[in-house]
Amino acid sequence: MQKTYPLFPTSLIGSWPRSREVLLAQRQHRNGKMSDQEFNDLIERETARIIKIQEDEGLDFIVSGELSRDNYCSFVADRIGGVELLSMNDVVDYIADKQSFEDILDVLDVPSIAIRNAICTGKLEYHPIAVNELKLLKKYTDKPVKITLPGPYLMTRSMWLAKLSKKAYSSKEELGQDVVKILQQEIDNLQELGVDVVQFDEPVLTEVVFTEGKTRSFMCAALAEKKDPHDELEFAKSLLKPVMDHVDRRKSYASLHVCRGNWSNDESILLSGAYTPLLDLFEYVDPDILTLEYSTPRAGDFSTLMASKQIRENDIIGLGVENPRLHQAESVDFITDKVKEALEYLPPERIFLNPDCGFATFANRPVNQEEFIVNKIHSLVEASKNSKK
Amino acid sequence: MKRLLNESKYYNINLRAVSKSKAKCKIYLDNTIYDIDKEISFDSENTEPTSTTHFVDALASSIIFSITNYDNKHDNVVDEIEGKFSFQLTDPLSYIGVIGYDGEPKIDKVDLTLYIVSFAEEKELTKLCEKAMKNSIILNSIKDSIKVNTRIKLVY
Repeated sequence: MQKTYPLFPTSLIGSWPRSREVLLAQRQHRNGKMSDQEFNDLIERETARIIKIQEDEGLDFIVSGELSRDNYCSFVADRIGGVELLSMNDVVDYIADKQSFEDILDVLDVPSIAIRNAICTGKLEYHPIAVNELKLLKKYTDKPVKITLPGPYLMTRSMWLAKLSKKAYSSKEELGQDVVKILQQEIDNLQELGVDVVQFDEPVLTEVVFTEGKTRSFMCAALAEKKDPHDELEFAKSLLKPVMDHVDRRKSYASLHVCRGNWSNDESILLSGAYTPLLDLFEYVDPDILTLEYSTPRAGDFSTLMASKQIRENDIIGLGVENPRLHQAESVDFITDKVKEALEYLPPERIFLNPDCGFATFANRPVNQEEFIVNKIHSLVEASKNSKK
Repeated sequence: MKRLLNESKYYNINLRAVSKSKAKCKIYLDNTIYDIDKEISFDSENTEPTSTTHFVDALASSIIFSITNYDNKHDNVVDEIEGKFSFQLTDPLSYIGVIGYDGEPKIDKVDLTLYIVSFAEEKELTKLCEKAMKNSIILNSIKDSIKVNTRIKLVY
């Protein structure tokens, strides 16, 4: 990466709460009651507004907010051929542990029709995924920009539903190969336009290693069919490596974001555990940036990540220093203490600052509100400034 | 004349229920014949409908239909609807004959959340549901003996 950035650069993970107007428009557009033009105009206006907030607050990398997305992954159904958006209600017959699924719905207090998964029902066909988001970013800001994409393991696992997907692919491994090709094409298009960070989201990796055979299948309808964690991680590695390697590192940072789920404000039911079981994968996949959550004790001690010599000596850590689910902004001292802890292992130029995860991973279930998010950004930027002193 | 007046006030549903072996109950209803194996099952693996599941799904579907039918005739603002029902059966142990339990087993409470996908406001939807549910045959039939707690949640 030849560009230089300020020390302790700040950014959001990606998603921003949609206004009521956007949520209604998403549904109207999906149901054919709003034209593409009207929908795109609204998304552009709202994205421009969010970009301005980030600029005014002084964030270093700007994100689009993912406003047109239904959620962080299922939106690909609108963009890629061979994929359909099905509600969990449509696929519940294929879910092995229905009681666990019911429990999740209870906790979330949502109907099954509100949780939608992009399911592979035909041969994948590439159409731009986040290119329009990047175009909007480039139109409204001159600052460095970050684009977020669902990672290839998340995409493959959430799209694969044997009964429906076998019409086009004999196995999830075969589907995975086409997912990799789709993402490689997307990377080419993004880099041609100019993007500073391409971040791949892989929250399901922690579902694999921390759920000990019990999978909360709202994330991936078919994860109930998962093999043992070792085989799943090998599969994830085989998909992530060619995607990450495809990013031309002279032009953009390749980032891997792994959290433990961001779907409830109740910390006690979210997954917990250090990243230790994923260190081997992190080393093999070898991104420039590991964007990880460290604002809550659930993530374990930072030193466990630093047990990896390769990570300690090479990687940038996108240090999660704010809980996106808390309304109250973290204090500047809290964040700078996190930075100090990281500085015990890493040079300052390899510490980026961000919240643990997005603020609205699922469009219709944001975990925070704009008025609080602005305060959190303010703390993040102030802490970055203080850390430079 | 008397018969016509009677039919304008009352509609009779007739069925015949027969048990020969005591193991099941055969229902003859209009042009349909079906078996019900049990009044209730406490077996989590059971897949066959019972008298009790027929009763609870009748209430659930009746409420849903009352809303969709009403909405079709009036506002037409409900895109999708999903109800989450929780039925409380009191005194299940006396039903299975556990010594020391002799209460009358009955469903005495239903907690209901209606998730409604709509462009309308929550207040408007609540009014709509209240009006609509007044036309639910099953709800009207049981509401004086079973407490039904209803919550409505708007889903974008």
